[in-house]
Amino acid sequence: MKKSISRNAVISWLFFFGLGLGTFFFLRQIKNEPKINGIPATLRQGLERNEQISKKLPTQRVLEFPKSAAALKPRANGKYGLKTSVDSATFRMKVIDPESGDTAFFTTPQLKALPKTEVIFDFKCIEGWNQITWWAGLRFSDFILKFYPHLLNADGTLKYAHVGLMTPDRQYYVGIDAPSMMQPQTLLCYEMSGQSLPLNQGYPLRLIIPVKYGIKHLKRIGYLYFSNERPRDFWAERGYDYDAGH
Amino acid sequence: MNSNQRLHFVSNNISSNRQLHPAWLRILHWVTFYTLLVMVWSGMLIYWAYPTYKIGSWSVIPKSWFKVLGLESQLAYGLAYHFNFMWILMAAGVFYLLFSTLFKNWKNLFPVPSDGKQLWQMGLHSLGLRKEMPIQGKYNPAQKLAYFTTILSLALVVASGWAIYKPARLFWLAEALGGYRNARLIHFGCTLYLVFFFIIHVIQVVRAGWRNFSAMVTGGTSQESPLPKP
Repeated sequence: MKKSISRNAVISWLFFFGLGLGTFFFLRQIKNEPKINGIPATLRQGLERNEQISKKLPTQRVLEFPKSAAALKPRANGKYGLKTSVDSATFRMKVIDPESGDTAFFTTPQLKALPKTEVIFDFKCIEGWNQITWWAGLRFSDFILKFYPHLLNADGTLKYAHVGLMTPDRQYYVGIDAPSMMQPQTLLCYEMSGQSLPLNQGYPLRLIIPVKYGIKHLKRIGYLYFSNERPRDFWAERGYDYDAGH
Repeated sequence: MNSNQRLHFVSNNISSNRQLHPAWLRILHWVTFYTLLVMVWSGMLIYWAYPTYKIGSWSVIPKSWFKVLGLESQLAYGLAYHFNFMWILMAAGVFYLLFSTLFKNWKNLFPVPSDGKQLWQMGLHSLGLRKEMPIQGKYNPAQKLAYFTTILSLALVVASGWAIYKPARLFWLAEALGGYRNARLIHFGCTLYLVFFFIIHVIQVVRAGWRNFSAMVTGGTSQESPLPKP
């Protein structure tokens, strides 16, 4: 009896110190691992697994609010890709058709001529703040339906798995999964709080994608393209999760 | 404790292997401890990016602390650690719920109305106004309250964590917790409570002595009754 108790104690203490040492070495190994896009490989693989899991949860429309709830002066964060000047007269969004390889040029008046959609939602930044904001523009799904119907499957989904966007200077770029882009609240946005977009909010045209964190809401869309490979993504290359979705 | 109660107590809590803390509880205790260390540390890396909570005009965590503790400008790292180690914490939680139900551990922990009276008696005892400690089970009412609320805040920290992690896909969860912003506050508040509990817990364990501590490693034995009270 006595012997079995002491053997239990030895095993228990071994486990106790083993767990402590194991945790220490595990954390040290993670820290010293080669990095994949800014974070240790083990952590990156974990984020990729998380993304596969969260994709299984049903996509939702995000909640919308009355205009009166919207902030008058929404916060602006991030100036990457906005350093060059922009001329509204010559501004074009360049869209590359993956089937023909042709590039089409879209002006903002051209997009404004199409039905306008408003979205008032709780904008969330990956830093932790949130703010109810009011945006208006052309639904991305309406844009595709009008100009690129040949890129749609019979069930209305995009034939390509991803959409990539870049600023005109190509200094900021995001990649977004097709279902999130085709979600009815995703806008090619030209208005904020009932007025034309300010310069620091991506004038003349930006992306508003309520199912994602702010880092994906690219300001000043210079290029738009379709791809089955994941497009490059500015913050995903700097340690953040590629999906950055809610 | 009269002999009848002790017999009852022994048969219920110490069971055939004569241990105070069963192996599953000890393993989960220490796994949760190390995981929580990682979660609180990575949570601080995340909180650095938007450290807004104040009591009056005092920041709950002043900016200078992040600097002193070397927690600045590592948001991406914080998120990456947080969203990986959360699975270990949740797995430990699932096993805890499972084993607690299976082995009827809840009755040691669930506060009951008579605890109020015992708590009062304990208070008198610790003030020297009452000679003997009240009769108690595996844990005294103060312990029950502390451990039970800790388990509760661990459950709440996981729920509110999911609410702020996937506020669109799990919008019902965020709404149930009073919205995104409120869920973030709950997440933070529960963490503060866990840290507060940790400090008190360590003080009480030090006060209760070595045998009590080693019981959480080796399981302890029934010979150690009367039971240590951390």
